Amino acid sequence: MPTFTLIASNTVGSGGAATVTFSSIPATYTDLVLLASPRGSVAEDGFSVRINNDSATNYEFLQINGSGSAVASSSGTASSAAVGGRQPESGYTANVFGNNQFYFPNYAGSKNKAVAVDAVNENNATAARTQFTSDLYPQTTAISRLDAFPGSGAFVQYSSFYLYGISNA
Amino acid sequence: MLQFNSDTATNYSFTQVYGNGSTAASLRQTSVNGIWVGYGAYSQAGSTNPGTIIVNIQNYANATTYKATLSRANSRIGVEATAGLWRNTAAISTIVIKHQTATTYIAGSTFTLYGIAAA
Repeated sequence: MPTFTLIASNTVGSGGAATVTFSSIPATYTDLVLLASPRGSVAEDGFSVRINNDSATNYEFLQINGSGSAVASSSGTASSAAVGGRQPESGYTANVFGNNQFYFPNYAGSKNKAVAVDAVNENNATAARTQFTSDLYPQTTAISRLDAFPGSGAFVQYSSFYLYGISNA
Repeated sequence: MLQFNSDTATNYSFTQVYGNGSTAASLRQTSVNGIWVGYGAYSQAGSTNPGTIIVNIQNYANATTYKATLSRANSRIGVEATAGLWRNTAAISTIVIKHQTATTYIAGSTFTLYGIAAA
């Protein structure tokens, strides 16, 4: 029996997209994985994922990132979404898209929700980043909706998002 | 930490990069008795906020090469990425997950093992 099942996908069309939404996510899996390969329309290299359309400042994060010349760690509270996604900005090497995994363990359970994010935005120049982020969404509600959106601007055409459910049975 | 096939001898090594929200650093250990996959990045004791540790064990069933792991750990107090090695060519049939100390996992902790098939 397959344990890694595609729930839904979204490839951005020619007009770009300010937000990519996955709604009505079934609660039948053990974990969720969102694989995202976006690129930004403006000088913005980060994107976030909002859970259950909750835009209140309920999220925390802690991350480590490397830029090719330095490594640093930072944290924050009172974020309005799960942060940590990385995408090439509009000025980065053409045709390059980011590579991101958002892992949501026990997304349908009754405990607070954690998100593990692995993210890179490569660029044939000095500006690029590899980043690991631990997000916490201290709410016990099952996750049924995810919205991905850049810090500013929009996702450009061909940005892709794949949501998988992982089942342990 | 992880131990394979009940091997508690010092046949493991690992290298990791980690951060605690203000400082980033790297740690390497050789000839130790397990691969630390949650160093500095486990959830706080008694916390209702779970930590997340994801471990990939490559080519686990082959009987020719030493076994390599790649893992990520996440919590409110740390994040880390770890490359691990078990210097043994045996196929992995048993995985032990435990704290480096005698600490126990609290009720509600979950551990899920998946197999990834090539076809």
